[in-house]
Amino acid sequence: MDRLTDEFKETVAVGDAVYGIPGEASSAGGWLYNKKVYEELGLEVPHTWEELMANNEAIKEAGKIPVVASYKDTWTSQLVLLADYYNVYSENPEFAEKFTNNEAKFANTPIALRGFEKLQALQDAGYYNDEESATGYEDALEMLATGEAAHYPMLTFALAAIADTYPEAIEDIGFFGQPGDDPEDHGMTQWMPGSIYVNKDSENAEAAKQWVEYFVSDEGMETLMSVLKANGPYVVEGLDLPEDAYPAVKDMKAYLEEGKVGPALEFLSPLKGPNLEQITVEVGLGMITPEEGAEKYDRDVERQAQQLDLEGW
Amino acid sequence: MRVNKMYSYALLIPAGLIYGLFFLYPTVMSFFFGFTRWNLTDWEWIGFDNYIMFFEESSLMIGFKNTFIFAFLTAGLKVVLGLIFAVLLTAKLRTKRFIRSMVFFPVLVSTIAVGIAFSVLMHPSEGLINMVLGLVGIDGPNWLGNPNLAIYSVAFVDVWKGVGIATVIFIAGMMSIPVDYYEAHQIDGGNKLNAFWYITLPLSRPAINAVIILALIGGLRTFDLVWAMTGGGPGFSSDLIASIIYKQYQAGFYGLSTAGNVILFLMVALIVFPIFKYLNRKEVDL
Amino acid sequence: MNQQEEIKKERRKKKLTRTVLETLLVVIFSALFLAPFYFIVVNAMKTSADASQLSIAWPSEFRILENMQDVLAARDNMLLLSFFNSTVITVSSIVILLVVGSMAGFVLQRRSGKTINIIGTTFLAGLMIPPAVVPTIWVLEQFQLFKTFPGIILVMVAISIPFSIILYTGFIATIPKELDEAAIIDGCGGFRLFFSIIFPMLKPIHSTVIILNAVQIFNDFVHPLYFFPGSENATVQLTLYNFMSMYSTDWNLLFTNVLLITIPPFILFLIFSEKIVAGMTAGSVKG
Repeated sequence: MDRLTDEFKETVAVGDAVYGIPGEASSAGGWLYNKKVYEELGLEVPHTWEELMANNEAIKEAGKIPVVASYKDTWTSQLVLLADYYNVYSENPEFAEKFTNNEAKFANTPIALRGFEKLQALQDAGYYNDEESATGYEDALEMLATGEAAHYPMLTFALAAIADTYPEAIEDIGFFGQPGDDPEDHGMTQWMPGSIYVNKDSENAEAAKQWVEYFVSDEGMETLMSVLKANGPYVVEGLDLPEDAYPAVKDMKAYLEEGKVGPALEFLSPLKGPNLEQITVEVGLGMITPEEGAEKYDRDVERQAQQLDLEGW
Repeated sequence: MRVNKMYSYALLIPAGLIYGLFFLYPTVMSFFFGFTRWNLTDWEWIGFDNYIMFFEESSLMIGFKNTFIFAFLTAGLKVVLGLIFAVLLTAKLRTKRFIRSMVFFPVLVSTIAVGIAFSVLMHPSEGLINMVLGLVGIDGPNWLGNPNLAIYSVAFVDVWKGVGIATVIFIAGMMSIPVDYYEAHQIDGGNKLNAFWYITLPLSRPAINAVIILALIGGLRTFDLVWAMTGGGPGFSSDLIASIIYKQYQAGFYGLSTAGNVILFLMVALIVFPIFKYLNRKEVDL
Repeated sequence: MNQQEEIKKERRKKKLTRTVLETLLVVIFSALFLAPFYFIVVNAMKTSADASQLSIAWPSEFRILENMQDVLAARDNMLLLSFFNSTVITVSSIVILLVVGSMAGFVLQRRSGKTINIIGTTFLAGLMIPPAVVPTIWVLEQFQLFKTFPGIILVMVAISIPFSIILYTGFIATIPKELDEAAIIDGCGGFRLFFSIIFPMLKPIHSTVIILNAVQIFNDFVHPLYFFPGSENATVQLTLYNFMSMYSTDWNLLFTNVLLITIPPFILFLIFSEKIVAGMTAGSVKG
């Protein structure tokens, strides 16, 4: 159990007791980018939002699509907001708790509001593809893999889909976390893996526990790696990625080594308004301002908390 | 006595029981549960909170506007197009049976399938519709992706799918008009346009009323086509009250969802009942 | 030129313009109403890669049979299960609807007076009232009918009763009351009068009720979604989403699925198409 990373333990622990082990590698939410496009245009991986926007400008001038927005599959629209959470986490670690307790809001927390603002900034600068709302997730992967587009803000489970459909392109796909404003504090937002739990009342609880120990051992993990390629770093410490890991996953490791990783908000708070994806589409398309979007989402969360009758709402 | 025996109320009981238990009873209860926070087992009275939420939230309010537009637009177009088709298809055409079947065919296909197919056909650059428009030099719009247009595009598909029913009802109405009327009109030297205005249209009034009412009621209550085509989007721009009810239900907000149901009920009653009265009054005047 | 030839020429000209106009009409209506189906059919025959282009091009390789096999096998034969479920729901609902709807329509049409007017209006109101979703689930749970066949069937019947009653009362109005009297004199009771004399006379309107309701119930997406959830309970409309996930869509299989689930309504239509208009003309719509 000691081998698990703290961030993971935080998501499966009740009090001090750890109740689960990771069933697979974690994934991350951030920016997938086409390395070939970057090479062609002589661009560097950005460490601040400003640098990222400058890259986008260069890509746009070169006649390529800087960022894919695939709002036909509305869930994909949330990524710019959700992947920005590392920056919130780093500046304001208590946000999640306050948010859960009805003490902090997206609209009145500047750093949290930034996610909505970034969504709009990309639209305002004209960095998205045309026909955002007719473009789906699959189209987006194709655009990224073929180099028609340079960036796609996405969860890294998309890597498996790219490797599957465009095996020759997967080597060209890299990853970076959604940058904030401080070049020294460029981190990534991590999505925790699905967990395996043992029922302590089960007849075979002992055997199950042994199996669990085996699962997180080097040997067990190697077996896992041999059958299931990782879409992100493992949350087991001291475990190296296999040689043939996707390049994008290797990119993620750097953040882990520097300790610049934060869990996504959904692993820290039970509150997630059901309409977030519609709201991020509205902001992303420029139908409403980031402030309006943040307020709308705050009300969406409030509605959820009230209907579920949570304390403090 | 004899009437009672012949037309015994007992014959009403099965229909009454099923309808009462599984339709009326839930409807009556919705007026209660709309005022509660509710998880199907426990409820808590929260007064008008659910209703206030509905009227304050722009993403819920938009449903009113859209439902209104959708219902009236589709009903209106179904009446107008249905009448035109019916006149054409009661004329002496050799191919009328074939065309009638074609017009009716979409009625047979599931709404979801039609919605999925049309969302592909309406793709702004690769869709068939804009490709055809492109051939004649028209730069077709982003039918479903443009928030100001999406609800109209869905309404258009609804008309396409449902105009067959209207047409059939009109054809039935027109076929029951005695031929003598037209013959007399012809002998009096009237032309065909006049025949339409002074014979076909007035005598199709019951059919027209039926189509208006059925189409309006249908338009106010449905959401499956919207669901298949836009999911209520982009954003909330094509949400209907019925799709909002579904979303709240999905999110587990049962009290809020039920309040939406009550609102929809009142809206249908306020719109359809006066129209129904009005149409029937006119019928008497004739 | 004599007059007769003149007339003949005139007629031929008229005939020609008529043919041209009719052809034009067929072309326009085909473009409007058949083109989308052409699109569905042609893509149902393609390979997955071809279909993902979503074009109207003729298939380079015909895969319709393989596609059908794939569709049928998908998710442990879910389509077969859903065909079974939808058929059970549709047939049961229709049978119940025909019996209880015509019975009620008969009494509502024949009787007059305040009480019957109120009852009639209550039934009619069901046309307008949108079904109350969550409360209906709540009622079904009270009777332990939620997610069961009897539950969804009774709800479908309840929802369809108002429109069916309108159709029946309209038609029954055309059956003379003298017939009832005669039957009573012959010693028939109320129930026998209805079932042995009236019910068989309702054939034309039965057809109308069957096709309008059967198509609606079989094609219904919303009510099974609400009242009959669960993977074991899949109905045909839900199978369309088998091939559309969050991440990818197999268009060829999706459209093949559309074709397969359109077959039953289509057969119904072939059987009853002539009778729809007949039933309506005779009754309801004439008012």
